[in-house]
This record gives sequence, C-alpha cells and structure tokens, in this order.
Amino acid sequence: MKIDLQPLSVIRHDLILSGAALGLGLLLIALSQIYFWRAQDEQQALRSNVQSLTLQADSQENAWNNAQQYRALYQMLNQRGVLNAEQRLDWIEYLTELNRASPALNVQFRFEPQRAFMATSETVQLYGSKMLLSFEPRNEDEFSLVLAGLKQLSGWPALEQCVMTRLTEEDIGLKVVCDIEWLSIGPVMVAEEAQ
Amino acid sequence: MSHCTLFLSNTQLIAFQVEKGQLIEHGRFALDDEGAVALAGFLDAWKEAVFSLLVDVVEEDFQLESIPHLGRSDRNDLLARRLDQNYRTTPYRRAFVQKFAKSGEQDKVLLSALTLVAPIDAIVNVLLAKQIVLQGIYSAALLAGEMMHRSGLGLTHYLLVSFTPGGGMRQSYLAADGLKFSRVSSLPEDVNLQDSERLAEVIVVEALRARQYLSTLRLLGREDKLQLAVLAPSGMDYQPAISQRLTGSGEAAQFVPSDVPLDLLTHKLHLPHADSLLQILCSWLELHPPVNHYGQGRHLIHSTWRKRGILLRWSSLGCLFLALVWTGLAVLEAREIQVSINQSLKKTGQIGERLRRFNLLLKQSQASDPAAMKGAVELYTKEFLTWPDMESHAQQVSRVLLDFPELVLDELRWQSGRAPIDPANQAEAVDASAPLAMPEVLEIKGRVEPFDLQYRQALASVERLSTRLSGLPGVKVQALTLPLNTSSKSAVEGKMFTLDSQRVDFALRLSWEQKIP
Repeated sequence: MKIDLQPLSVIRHDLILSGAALGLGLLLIALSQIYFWRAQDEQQALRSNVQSLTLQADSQENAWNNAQQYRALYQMLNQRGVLNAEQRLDWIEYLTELNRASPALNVQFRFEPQRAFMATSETVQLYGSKMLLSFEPRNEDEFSLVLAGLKQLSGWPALEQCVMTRLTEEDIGLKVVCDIEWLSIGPVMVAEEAQ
Repeated sequence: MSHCTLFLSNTQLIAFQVEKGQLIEHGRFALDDEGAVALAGFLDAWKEAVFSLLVDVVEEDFQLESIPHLGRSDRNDLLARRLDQNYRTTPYRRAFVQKFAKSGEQDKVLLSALTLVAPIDAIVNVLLAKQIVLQGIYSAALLAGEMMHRSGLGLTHYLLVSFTPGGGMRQSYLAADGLKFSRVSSLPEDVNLQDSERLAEVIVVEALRARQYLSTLRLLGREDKLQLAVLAPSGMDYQPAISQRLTGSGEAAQFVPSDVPLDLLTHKLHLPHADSLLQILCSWLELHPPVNHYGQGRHLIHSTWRKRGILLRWSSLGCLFLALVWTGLAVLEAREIQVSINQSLKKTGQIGERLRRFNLLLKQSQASDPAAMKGAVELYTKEFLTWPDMESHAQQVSRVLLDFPELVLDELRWQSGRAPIDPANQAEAVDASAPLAMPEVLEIKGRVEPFDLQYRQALASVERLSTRLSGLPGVKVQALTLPLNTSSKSAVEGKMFTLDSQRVDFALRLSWEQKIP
C-alpha cells in the first residue's frame, strides 16, 4: 500500500507551526521541570543538612547541659576513684597494712576477676570485683572501723553479705566473713572484649 | 487565507471575492480551452486561497422520492443505489433525507445532481492538479434554499424567484422541510432587471407555469395558495406590478406575492450589504461555509487535509498553551520551593551558629565525654546510692539489743539482697535490664541466758525483742526459732536439759523491702 504524502504539502505551514509549537512546548516543559527538580533536589539536600545540623546542635546542647548538670557529681566520682580502672593495689596495701598493724584481726582476703555487669547508661557500664574478706575484730566498733577504712579507699565497696559469729561463747572476739563488691564505672565493653 | 468563489453558469466561469463587503470580480473565463488556460494562470496567483465552486446551471436535476424508513447503513446503501440508477453518468450527485418518517412509513428524500459534468470536471481537475483547496461544490438553488431557511423570514411554503448573472431567472419551490423543485429559465433578451413592468410579466408567466408543474407533481393542490417571493435587486419593488399582472391574468387568488428585499435578507443573515443574490451567496460561502453539496471525497482531498492542518495547528497551539500553563505552575511551585530554600538557608545559619556556640562552650569547659558523665552519674544514682546500708541497720538492731541483757547474740547474717547482674548469668535473670532486688535480710541467732527452764520468760523476752524490732522503720520480723515451739500444729518433744539447761536458742529474721531503683 502506497501512502500518498502529496497532500501534506497543503498543510506544510501547519506542520511547521505545529512542530515549532510542540517543540517550544516540550522545551518549556523540560526547562521548567529541570528548574523544578533542581529546586526540589536543593530543597531536599538543604532539609537533610538542616536536619543533620539540628541533630548535631541538639546533641551538643544536650552534651553541654549534661556537662553542666553532671559535672560536679562526675568529678566527685572521679575523685572517689570509681571511674575507669579500679585501684586494687590501694585495697591490697590497706588490707596488708591492717593485718600488719593488727595481727589479731587475722585479715584474709581474696579477689575475683573483675566482671562487667548488665547495667549500662549512655557510653558507660557497671563493673564489679568481688572480694571475699574475713577478719576477726574484737567488737563491733572494730568491725565498723575496718569497713570505714575500706570506704576511704579508691572505689566503691558495696556489702553483698556478711556473717558475723562469735569466736567463742565466752564473748571474746568476733569472726566476720563478708562478700564485698567493689563497684566501678567504665566504658561499655565491646562485644569482643565481653567474649 | 483568502477565500475565492468560482461561480459556474452555463456560459462562463467567474471568480469572485468579497472584499470589505463588496463583491469583486477577479476573473471571467469562457468554458473552452482558452478559458481553461486562463483559469490555470489565474489559479497560479491564488494558490494559497480557499476556493468554493458555486454552480448555477440548467443541468441540475431534482427528484423527490419516498423510501422505506430504514436503519442508517441500509438507508445509505439504498440511496447509493438510487443515485446510481438515476445519475449514473455524474459524480456530482447527492441524496438528502428531508423528512424522517416513523418506522413503517416512508422517508422523504431529495435526489439531485449536476449533469453538466465536463466543465465541472475541468475546473475540479485543475484545482486538484495545482493542489488548491476546494472547500466544496455547491448548488446555487440548494444554497439559496438553505439560506432562506436560516434567515427566519417566516417563509415556509413559497416559490422563490431570483436572478442569475447570466440573464437567467431561477424559480425554486421550497417547503418547510427544504427544496422540492428548482429550475432556471432564460429571461427574454429585451428584459432588464430595472424594467419592473416587463419583468413582472415574465415572472407571472413563469410562476403560472411553475404552479402548473407543481400541481402535476401533486406538490400543490389546485386550490392551494402559493406564496411568490421575489428576491428583488436593491431599490427595486416588483410587487405592485406582479399583483397587477396576476389580477389581470385572473390567477391572483392562487398567489400571495411578496418581495424579499436583499437588504432585509442580509440583515437577517448578518451578512455585509449586498447588491445581488450572488453576492449574498458568495458572502455566505466565505463567512459561514455550509456543508458541501456535490463534491466527493477525492475532490475535496485538499480541503480535508487543510481541515486536518487547522486541527493540527489548533491542537498544537492548545498543547503549547497547556505547556505554558504547566511551565507557569512548575515555575510557581519552584519559586515557592526557592522561598522555602531561602528560609532553610536562614535556618541553617541559625542552627550553625547554635552548633558553634555549644562547640565553643564545650571546648572552653574542657569537659570530657558528656555522655559518659551523664551515664556515670545515672549509674551512680541508680546502682550505688540505692545500695542497702546494712551497717546502719545492724547498728539499729544492736541498739535494741542493749535493752535485752538476758539475750546473747551468737551470729549475725546479713544479706543485702542486691547483686548486679552478671552477663554470664543473664539467662537466669527474669529481667536482665533491672537489678535484682530481693529483700535485705538480717538473721540474728542467739540464746536466752540464764534460762533455768523458764520457758514462759524466755518466750516473753524473745517476743518483746521481736516487737521492738518490728517497730524499726520498714522492718518485717519473722521468728525462725523460738525457745519453745508452742504451736498446736507442731510436735513437741520433751527433753531433760542437763548441760544446756542454762540456755535456750532463738533465731529471728529481719527483712527490709527494697524499692527497685
């Protein structure tokens, strides 16, 4: 079938005009869409930037507020030696010196390896080292003195349990056996370390 | 694009154009070879114009027929057959249903054709050869009837008398549903349109003949009055003369003569001023192009393409308009986004300033990790400060015991009830996120001394101790061992105390409920 294109010459002006109009229309649409999409992209990028900056600023403000709010207590904890590495040498020195100064106390102790506990907050975690302490104070006051001495050391001794018995029924001397958890706070343990 | 009307009569072809309300003649061509050459030359100069071919010749036949009322397709087939039967020799033919009847009745159809084929073919072929747009091939009789119908002059049943440029007089009988009959007769050579008396005589003679013919065709009853409408040239009034002639002929009762002034017709049709019916027809063709009468598809191919071109042009312009609207909306929206971007930029600056301020403050304060600070303080508050102070509880108990010299304490067993959850034992914890919070327990074991087998006194002492201890804040006291179990639910065995007759044992458990931090 042969298509007769001769009559197209009748509408050549219309074809040219239509082509030009459609071309112009498409060009306008394309340009306006490009302008629109670029504006949208810029807006999107800017929104992300604003969001990111807002998060950073909020985080820094929060950090500043935390610093302001917790600085004093944090410094106190730092001075108490609760933060980061525990001071076992201080404890052992104290107990050794106590035993040397008062052999009658018959101080005996044993430390277990430090463990990381489940309690965490922000970027820090609770750690503890269990100490089995036994000694023989003459009376309750001496017992309290020993405990008070421990509290003066770096770290936070928390009594888990204690058993106090009389050495003899004649009311001379006590035998004390305590489980004391030396609590400390350190960075959150990463998974590999935990294993 | 200009419009040109080619008016074909039996003697010549005339090219007209309406310019500024005036009918301008641009060419006059004889219907011979010389005329054809001249026409070709003329058309070369008018290649861009749109042409209409208006035919007013004697060789135009009209036949009224009745056909059964059929569906469209069947009716078209039937009409095509009728046209083939009646006008086999000419392509310039037409069938027009003037009145659609109800089902089972007969439709009224007007079959018509231009039987003068050769000159029309010659004109159409030269137009096609030069790719000139031919809008349509029109019959002057049909066109005049359509115009009169559209004029709203209130004429519904009349014999229309008009004059052609070649010195002819056309009489067309028109009813409400269209043209019924039309013919052209030549005016006598001694008659001119300004001589109303002589012209009236000719009109009346021809009208009487026409009426006779219509009666023969049974289009008119013998007693029916026929309105005689004469399209008089401007300034002419034939009515008095016609009335006088009709009266003279004794046929006045069969006619109602009336003039149709051209001015009135142009006014009614909203056309420019015209001096003749031909001018009105040309103006009508140019300003209100009617439906083509006799042109076939192949004759009007360029017109069809021109219409397609116009449609294409307007469609594309419509698309351009829509594109402009689209563009406008997109730009508008983009501008709104731009405004939002400007606001965001301003906001970014503010947030950046805020960020820099806090960075500077943190730097100046030389604070170590603030999150660690917060976490450390929270752990301290949650885990350290809530740890039970067993020593103070023991001291409270000790102070109470001072009031009971008969009771001797042998053993104190404290249990804080607290232990941080070791991840190794995590599976055993019910809720690993919360620290264990069992009651803090202090168990005291002792003896009543001296006893001397005084069970009642011993029991009373322990009971008093228990009561005193219960008075301490938050303490629940439970007797684990009493000097003597006097419960009816227990078995009691008598035992002769010998060595131990000086003492009897007891044990109490004190517990403090802990709040979960």
